[in-house]
Amino acid sequence: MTRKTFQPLRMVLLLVLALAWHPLAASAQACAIVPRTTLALYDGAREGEVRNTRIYRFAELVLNYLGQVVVYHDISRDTPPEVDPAQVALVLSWFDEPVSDNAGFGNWLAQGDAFCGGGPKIVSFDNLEFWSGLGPALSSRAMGAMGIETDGVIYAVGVSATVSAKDESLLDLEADYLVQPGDYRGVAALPGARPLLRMASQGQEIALAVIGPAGGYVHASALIEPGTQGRAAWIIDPFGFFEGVLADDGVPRPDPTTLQGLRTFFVTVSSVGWLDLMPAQVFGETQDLASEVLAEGLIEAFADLPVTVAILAGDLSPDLGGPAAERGRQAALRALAAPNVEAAVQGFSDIRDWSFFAAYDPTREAAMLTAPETADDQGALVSSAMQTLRDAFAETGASTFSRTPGAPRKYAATPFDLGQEVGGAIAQVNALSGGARPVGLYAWSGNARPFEAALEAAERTGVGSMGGGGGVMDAARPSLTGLWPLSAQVGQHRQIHDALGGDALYTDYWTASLYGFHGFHETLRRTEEPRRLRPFQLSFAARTMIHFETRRAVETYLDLARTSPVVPIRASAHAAAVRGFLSARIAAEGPGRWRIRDRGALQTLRLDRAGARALDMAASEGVMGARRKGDSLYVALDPGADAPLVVLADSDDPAGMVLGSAAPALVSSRPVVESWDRSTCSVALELSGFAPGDVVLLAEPHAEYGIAITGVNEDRHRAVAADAAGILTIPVPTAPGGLRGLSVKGGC
Amino acid sequence: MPDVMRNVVVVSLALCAAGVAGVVALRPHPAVRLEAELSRLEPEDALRELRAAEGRMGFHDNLELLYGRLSLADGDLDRARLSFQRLQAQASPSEEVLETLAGIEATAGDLAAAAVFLRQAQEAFPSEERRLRLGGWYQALRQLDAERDLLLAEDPTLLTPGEIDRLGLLLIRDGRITDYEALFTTLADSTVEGHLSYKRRLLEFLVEAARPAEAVAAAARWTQGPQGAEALEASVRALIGRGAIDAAILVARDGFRLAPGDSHAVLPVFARSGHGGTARILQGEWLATRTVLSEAEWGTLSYLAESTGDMRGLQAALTSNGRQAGAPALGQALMQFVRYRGAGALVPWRGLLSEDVFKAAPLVGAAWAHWRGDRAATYRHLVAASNQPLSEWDQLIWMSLLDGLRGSPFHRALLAGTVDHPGLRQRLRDSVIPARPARAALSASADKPG
Repeated sequence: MTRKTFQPLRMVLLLVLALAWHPLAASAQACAIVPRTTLALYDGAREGEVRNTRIYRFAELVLNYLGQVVVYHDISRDTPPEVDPAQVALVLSWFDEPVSDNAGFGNWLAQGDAFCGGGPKIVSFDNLEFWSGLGPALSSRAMGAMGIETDGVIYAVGVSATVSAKDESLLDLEADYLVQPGDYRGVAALPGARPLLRMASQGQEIALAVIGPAGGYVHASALIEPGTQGRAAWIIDPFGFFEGVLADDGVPRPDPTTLQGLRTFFVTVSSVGWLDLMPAQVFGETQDLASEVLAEGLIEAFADLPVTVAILAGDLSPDLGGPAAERGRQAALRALAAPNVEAAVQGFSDIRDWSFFAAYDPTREAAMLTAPETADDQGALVSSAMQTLRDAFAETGASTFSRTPGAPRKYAATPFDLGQEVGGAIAQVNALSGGARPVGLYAWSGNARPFEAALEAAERTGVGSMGGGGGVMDAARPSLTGLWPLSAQVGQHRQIHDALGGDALYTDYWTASLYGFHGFHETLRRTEEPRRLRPFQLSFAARTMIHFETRRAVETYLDLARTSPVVPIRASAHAAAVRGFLSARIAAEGPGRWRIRDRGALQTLRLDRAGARALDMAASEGVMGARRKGDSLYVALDPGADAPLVVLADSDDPAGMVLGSAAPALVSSRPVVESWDRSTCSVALELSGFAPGDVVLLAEPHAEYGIAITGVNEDRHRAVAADAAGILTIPVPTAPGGLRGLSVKGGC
Repeated sequence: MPDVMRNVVVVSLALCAAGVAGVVALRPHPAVRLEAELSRLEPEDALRELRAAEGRMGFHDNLELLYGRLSLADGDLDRARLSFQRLQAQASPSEEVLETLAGIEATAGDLAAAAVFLRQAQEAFPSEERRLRLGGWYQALRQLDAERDLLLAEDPTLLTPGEIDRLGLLLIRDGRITDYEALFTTLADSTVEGHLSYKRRLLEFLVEAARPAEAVAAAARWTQGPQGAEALEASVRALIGRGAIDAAILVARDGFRLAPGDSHAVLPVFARSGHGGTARILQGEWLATRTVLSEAEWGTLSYLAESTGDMRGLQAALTSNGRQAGAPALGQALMQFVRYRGAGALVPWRGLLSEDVFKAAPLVGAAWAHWRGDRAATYRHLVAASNQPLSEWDQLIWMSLLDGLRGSPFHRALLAGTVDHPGLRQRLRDSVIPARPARAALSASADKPG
């Protein structure tokens, strides 16, 4: 397959290189850009691919929150990293075994002039030998950055070892640190470094966690508690640790969880179970399809909320979907006709195992589909249970799952064709709605681990893609490690992840207690406080409609979204915001002044530990307002501004803004602000949305304004006054498919 | 007559009353009727009916269970909790009720309350899956004492490896070293999966506790048990790893006595850990106890000779046992002499050389043929050797033997491509193309104009 040109990661790198890598401009211009890249080192020979690494699985989420884009480098290839050194804020290794070849990386790290600000920070998790084997000068520099030295001795640690020093503020986050007997390398914190954890064993002090002047080190025993059921938990506080290492709290961080001061909300419906039949309560009654219940009972009942519905093109073909296909097609048409629905595609043949098709061999697939069940399974209890389960789900038509539950895809009537799977499926669903509801999102099916060519094929269609990742953080699984990063690097491409996991995760894929999905509210709570880690994504399969428990849970969460302070958006808007997160560049233009470029659809910056700072509306450009949440300040950017300037002022005003003029500024808005025009005395907005919602503005206390809304009172401005805190709350009746103009005049 | 009439009336009345009473008695209870109706309704309708009926009639167990399940399905956790608590109070402990109460609390976000019910379920209906789940919950709750007690209450040999590791760490944390020792003693003395690692951990503990004699005794005990050879080797490795060399030597000597056929395995452990001298001494002691050597024992001797360069063990074994050794063992043993002392060192062992030995170790055959000046045989054995895996060292020996064929058609044939071994092919190429410095431009002096 030819690799065409649209490769975002490479484009970003080339763009950055083109703008900042000119020899003369390199130091001055490139170093003005805030480095947002974490170079993650992994051993491809041991770990295979990026999505298997512990950095991806555990650390990237935290680094994303701190504004970092993680770019992976396979150290086993022994080539220099393909990344602009000036953009690298941090180099992170997490090896569990020594890595022999590091010359290519060593040469890259040795090019001192290419780096900004004294070079990247260096963090080593677990095995240190990669760094000690870099050669004396580089090794010494790396160790110095981490704030440690080693004596080259391996110490035997037994049951008598004790914790001699522990920084309680950064340790025992989700699991308690426990002394683990074993062999430990002799490591000590250098003077001036911040020791976080130290152990004493038979008179020998061993440093286990240190923050150095330009990096840090954490021993494996202080990182992650693996858990007896594979539920890992952080021992060290990764936020605090990386914040301490990066030391860039003053820099704004792109944040795709928030829009206009509020958490975003979106719904994704997967096509799984689209043709499933809902059991009739009385014999002889017509059985509804899950998709029919979805279209009639849910989408139309919640017409005030956007829903992104993924359709499997193969399901709608009678040759594949069987007798139910036509009804499934009608359900799809009905769903797509609803104005609150965004069309999405989940492929053609329902790929369950993408890796199988990375090097596709039709004969291997045919052999798998025709292989008889193994003799050992015959008559076994589990086998019978599986048969019952299979029958209950009643895969219809040409589904391979009715015969081979482990098949790599559902429809295998024709050989796998990537074009048909991606572009073809999108074209089919576009044709279904006659172009009236063009597909806005491609949703990765099955194990959602697309190979590079599949991502490339999706990008060529121009339709955003999303899937995989997500995660859960509920009462029984309360760890950050249950959440996934925003995206996954797959070769030169990026796979945008779901924000949160859905019904399948809470019901063990509909095999455990179905009421479990009612516990989703815990994940919502824990990903909002103390940090907003994730948007509110309600994700479920069409199949969930046939079960009372899961259907009621979905209805409950849709009701919750109606009353929660969120901005309802389409799922594709979230995917676009994550892409903006990846591409955004932030340039310092002086103390407390930041210019933002290439942010795409990302509309929010977040400043942490910003209790004493506020957005200076008068000095800023292309911003709409700000809102505090805890000690963070969320700055809303004007969607029409190409390169907004964020300027901060010293102020602990609870509003988080210094207005500087009589014109109000945005605190929050449930309708989506499509355009924003703020002059000295007034502000005019164009808004879109799915239902009436409040626009909350900040003005001077008791200031009086005239408000006009198109379609309501047109140009006849209605008088309103801000309250004692300066808050103006304006209900705006938005509806799908149109814009509402809001004019607020008369501030001076 | 009147009496008869009266009797008839009385009996008739009694029968009527009985009939009425029967009809009344057989009329289904409203709750039973409701239950029958509910079975025909969709869950949401059934739930609505139950809510309407609540307070108007008492719910028997089945209705209460149905009400609880439907409330739970609906997400009404408070009502579901009430139903299942009533069921719990009315009947003997039920696995489903306790599990559901735990599930309700977990779904509601109160994992601590959920753990209380799950613990009750585990005590009444123990299962490994539930114990693992409960342990995970205690871990999430940071209730380490409860987690420890849960694990301590179980037979250690039934715990999973992850649970054993975790229990060990929790006991260390609490300073319960006696329990720690008891845990790993039980496991080390067992044959559970991973018992060798538990043996290692117990020995490490005993060494740390300055009780090497007990470590030696334990190792001797395991050596006589199932998988004794593996246990012996693991014990020696563990003791050396903790610097208890004297104890390791004692364990090895015990092994020579208790497991004579397998104890040779400890010798490479000493050699690999940098105790070559000790390995040589022990080799002598061990060899003195052996009259016939197995293939594995020959392998050990060859390994020790190769790794230490000390041929004394091999010499002694060849002298006493050489005639009984198989061709592969002999080939491997004699190869050490070729490696360290050259082809001439084969002379004293010429009586042991045979075509079978050469077939097993073609380089030995090539060396012997070379020593005797038999170029055709040298060529033949070199070709055979090139079809076997060859270490860098052996490739160098191969090339040196090739030198003896220079000027002959055999040499040209080998250069012409008879050999498929990639390493040898490269060396053959290099042998005819003069080697240059890899970075000639850097090693040469700079060009000067004029």
